[in-house]
Amino acid sequence: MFLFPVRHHSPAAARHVTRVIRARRPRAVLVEGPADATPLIPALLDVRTEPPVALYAYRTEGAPRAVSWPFCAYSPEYVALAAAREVGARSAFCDLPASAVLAAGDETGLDLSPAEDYARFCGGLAEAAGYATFDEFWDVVFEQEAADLPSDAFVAALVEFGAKARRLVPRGDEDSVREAQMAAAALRVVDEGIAPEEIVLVCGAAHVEPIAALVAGSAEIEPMEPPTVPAALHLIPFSFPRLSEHFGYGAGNRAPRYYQRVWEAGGDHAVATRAALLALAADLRGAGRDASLAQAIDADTLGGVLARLRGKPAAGVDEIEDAAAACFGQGQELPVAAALRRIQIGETVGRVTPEIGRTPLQTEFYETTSRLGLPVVDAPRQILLHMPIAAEAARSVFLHRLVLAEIPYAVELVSGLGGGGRAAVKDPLDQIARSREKWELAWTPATDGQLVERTALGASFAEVCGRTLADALAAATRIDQGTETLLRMALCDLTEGFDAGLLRCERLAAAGGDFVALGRATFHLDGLAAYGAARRLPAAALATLAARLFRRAAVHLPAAAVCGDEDAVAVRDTLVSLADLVRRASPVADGETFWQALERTAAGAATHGEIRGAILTLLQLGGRLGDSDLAHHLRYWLSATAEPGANARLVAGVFSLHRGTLVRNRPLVAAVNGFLAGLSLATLTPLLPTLRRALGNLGGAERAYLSETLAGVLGVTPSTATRSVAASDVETALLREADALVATTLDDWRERYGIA
Amino acid sequence: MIDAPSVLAPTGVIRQPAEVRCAAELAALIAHDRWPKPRGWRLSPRMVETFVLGSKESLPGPDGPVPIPAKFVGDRRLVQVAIATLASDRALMLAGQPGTAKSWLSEHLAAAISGSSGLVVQGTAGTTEEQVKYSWNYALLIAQGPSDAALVPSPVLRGMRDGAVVRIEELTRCAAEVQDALISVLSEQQIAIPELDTAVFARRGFAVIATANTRDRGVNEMSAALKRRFNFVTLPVLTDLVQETEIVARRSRELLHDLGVEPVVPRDLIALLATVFSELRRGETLDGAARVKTPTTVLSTAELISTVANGALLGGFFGDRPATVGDCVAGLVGTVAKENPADLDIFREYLATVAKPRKDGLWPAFYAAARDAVG
Ligand SMILES: Nc1ncnc2c1ncn2[C@@H]1O[C@H](COP(=O)(O)OP(=O)(O)O)[C@@H](O)[C@H]1O
Ligand SMILES: [Mg+2]
Repeated sequence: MFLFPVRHHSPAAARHVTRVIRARRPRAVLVEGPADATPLIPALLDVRTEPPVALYAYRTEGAPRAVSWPFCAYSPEYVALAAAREVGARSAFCDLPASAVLAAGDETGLDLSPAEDYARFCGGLAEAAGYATFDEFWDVVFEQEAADLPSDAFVAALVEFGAKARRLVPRGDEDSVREAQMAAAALRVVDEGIAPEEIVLVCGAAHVEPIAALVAGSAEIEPMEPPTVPAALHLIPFSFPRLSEHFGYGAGNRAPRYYQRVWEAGGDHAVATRAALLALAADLRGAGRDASLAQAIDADTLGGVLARLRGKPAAGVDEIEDAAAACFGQGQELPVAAALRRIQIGETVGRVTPEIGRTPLQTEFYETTSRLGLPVVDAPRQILLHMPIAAEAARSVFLHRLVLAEIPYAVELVSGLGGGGRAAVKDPLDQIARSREKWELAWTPATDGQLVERTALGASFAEVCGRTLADALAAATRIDQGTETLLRMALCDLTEGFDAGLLRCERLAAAGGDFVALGRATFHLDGLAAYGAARRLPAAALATLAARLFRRAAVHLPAAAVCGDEDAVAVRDTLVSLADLVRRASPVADGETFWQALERTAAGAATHGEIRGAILTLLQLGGRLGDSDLAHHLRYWLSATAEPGANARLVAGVFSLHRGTLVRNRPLVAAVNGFLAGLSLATLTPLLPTLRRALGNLGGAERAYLSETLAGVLGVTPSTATRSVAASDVETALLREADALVATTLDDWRERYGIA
Repeated sequence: MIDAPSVLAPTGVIRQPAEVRCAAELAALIAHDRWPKPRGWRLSPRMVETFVLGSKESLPGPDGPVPIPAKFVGDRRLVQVAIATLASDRALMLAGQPGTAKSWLSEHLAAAISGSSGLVVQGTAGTTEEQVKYSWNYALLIAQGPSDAALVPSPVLRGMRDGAVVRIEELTRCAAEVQDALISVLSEQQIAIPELDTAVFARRGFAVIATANTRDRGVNEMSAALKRRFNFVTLPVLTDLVQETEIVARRSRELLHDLGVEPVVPRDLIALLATVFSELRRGETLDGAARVKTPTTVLSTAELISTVANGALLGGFFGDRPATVGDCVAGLVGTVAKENPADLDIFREYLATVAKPRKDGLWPAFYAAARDAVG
């Protein structure tokens, strides 16, 4: 039996394994990989499958878990399977089945976590040989030096390396179990009548020696059935960026795109490096930077001399990095980092043959992204959608469906200047009111992983999302949860379930008496009625329900306003939203009922201070209170209780809305000043957070108004009208004095209370 | 203002060139060099690397083993890029903040490659084209007409003729015409002398190492054509306090040794001074707990070396004892406040808010001495 040692994603091992299989023409080729994935080999080798791709296994029951085994064009395992087909050999994966790997880590399962000792061994080896990292060591010793040896010598060198790693770093049971599994698989093939010398087994270099001993019978195969869990396997696209970060130490591939060039150049690193540097220059020029052909040649020369200085046969990944900084980056890495990443790691996404291995959701995803012109690359791309344009609205619907189905691909961002790439708040009401949406799209293998797994919920996004929404409706216990689901239905254009949803909301409305929930639901339905017309929603039914909810909310307000600090903010925000409906004269809002409810609540002795304050301001804004009435009410309530905390909340409530207007209200500012000035510092300190919320961070204009008003309150300045004509020295002096007094008072406020 | 007792100029005027100081090392390296040398080089690139970065093992010499200490402390890859640049006949630009050892590295590279670090053009606004090409001895020129004897070669011309490394310090401070002249020299690898109807061609071994201070505006204003003639290596500011302490201890000892003084500066004193420099430079305390105002003056490793050396000299010459905090403080204050009196206030604030509360080790002594010095 010929045991061929590999390191994952090694072009050198890939070249030699092809050579060996072509020369030996075995009848069977066994490859390290999950045994239960053998049926996927034809799909893996299909001409329409383009690596990088991965075997993807996930649990179908219990806690979700998934594992993938990626392959690129130069993975020795993949190349060995292709060579096997070429010489007419049968092939199979021979390692632990995925169902056992997915059980690993459970109490009963195996421990398959990569050993730290192995990392230390690799690091130590590199250091002893004079290299900074194991990757660099591997590059020089195996990809460059050993690669040009005859295959026998290459195999011998790699086997020896693997055996040392295995012996120096005993990894306990899990390795032995896997080796026993692979050896047993090989012996089964022998039992089926294929001679050992007609078998090639491709496995990690560290496993060769132990497997050889087991196969030769010089060691006992312990019968062991590792525990398994229910699992499913698929073939999914993978990408270079993920490949570069997939495995832990020692098994990774830090520059998949670069090694693709090495592979394509038949292992000639010098050629691959030159091509990479030329591509780098082109990439930099594309980005508008100064990067001529002459500079690329200089970089190539520098790389070659550096390699010689470092005792390497040819320049590689490290020299490309150094030369790029010296020749294109003015000695710095940053200016060339992005381009280097594209040249070394790349952005390539693989492709899986359309015939096999695609779930209906994958098919819909790829067809729809392609039809709608949405990019599928493993790097973030931003797009802007204008909802009035039908084609862009269609994109929006599709992306909202993906978000709802929890497919990792699209994230909505705050749009407009100053958004700065932050994720947008996922409030469906805001979302439905947007006329523009900004999204960031990035495909990753996880996208396909989830597309595969979500297929369990349905065969189309409409079905998956429909089911998710139906579940949400069934689980809703508050009316606003129900109406929020209706909003999501509209966003995802899934209106078949809308009537049933509306019915459910009617029932929730009848049951619940929570002011905040009722208020928010009203607002949701008003939004749906306003924006839903274009989406063929039953506007009349929506409006009727909304009007009913509005009245019920008003009825429940006085009771809801008697609450603790935690709930007060939500009640106040809901109030403000409802007041907005009244102000807009929305057909769902019954103004008179609303104002009466406010007046009743403001007069309630037990009403929370902050809510009372906000209501007073709302009443004034609604014309139900005059300017001086507001100050009068404020004074009244400030004197009604001696509890300073309640009073601070009241002040905060008053100033929580329309501060710009209130800071010009002289009687009001006088009342606040009186309150603040009458407090000792000890009393005040605990109130500061509340007061800061209301009065801190005043904008420039607000500050100016406040100081002017305050000046008036303190009676120290001529009126603004005379100020502009003030010319005499006396008046100027007076003015200066007044300004100084106001400034000290404001400073005093700031010092003492941290406000203004 | 306080006058620091400036026994040494910051750059150490009395310093011997690297090839003299390290003559025994260079001889030993040449004797044991087994690798191929580029034409015109006295050492192979690998041995140059060993010289610059040091070696754990000593080399045998006529008078016993010759240790090869590190001259430059830092990323091996950067030094390799610098050497490979020169070995591939490209010009090298060492960029970085003041005091990052640009001149120091350039001097040692020249000494190792050509055996001499003396071909230097000092770049200033007043540097002329003649200093990059050639000028004339006017007496001879008038007496004999243009002749070889009357020609006064620039360091660049001599480097070309002899096949040696030429150093151009602070290239970006030179006027645009001088930089343009250099472009033609570098691209044509020759200097024409029309008066003698001849030209000097660069021999193998000729190479240029320029330095540029990234604090100067000039780096950004360098023409694209000139930039393209160079491979760039940017030297980073040392962020490792232990490393910096180590360098300062060694360099100040070397400086004073040249003066015939064998000073003793306690290591914890150097570490304290390095901490002060580092905190003022970074704008925060080492533990990141407090912000510190940053003086306008450059506080690089080079300034720290001269502060320590000055202090050690005070202790050694006038006290005949190990240097104390007091010996070093006057130099420190002079360095901090040498450009801008406002920096003295910044230093006072540092003393009050950062140094005073520290009660361990030498900090109380430092605080007392420094407070007296700044008044
Ligand atoms: N990384 C370093 N390794 C060794 N010495 C250093 C280092 N950084 C600074 N120094 C020391 O500091 C001084 C740097 O001065 P210099 O070379 O003139 O700096 P620059 O030319 O960059 O302004 C030298 O004496 C050198 O020994
Ligand atoms: Mg310098």
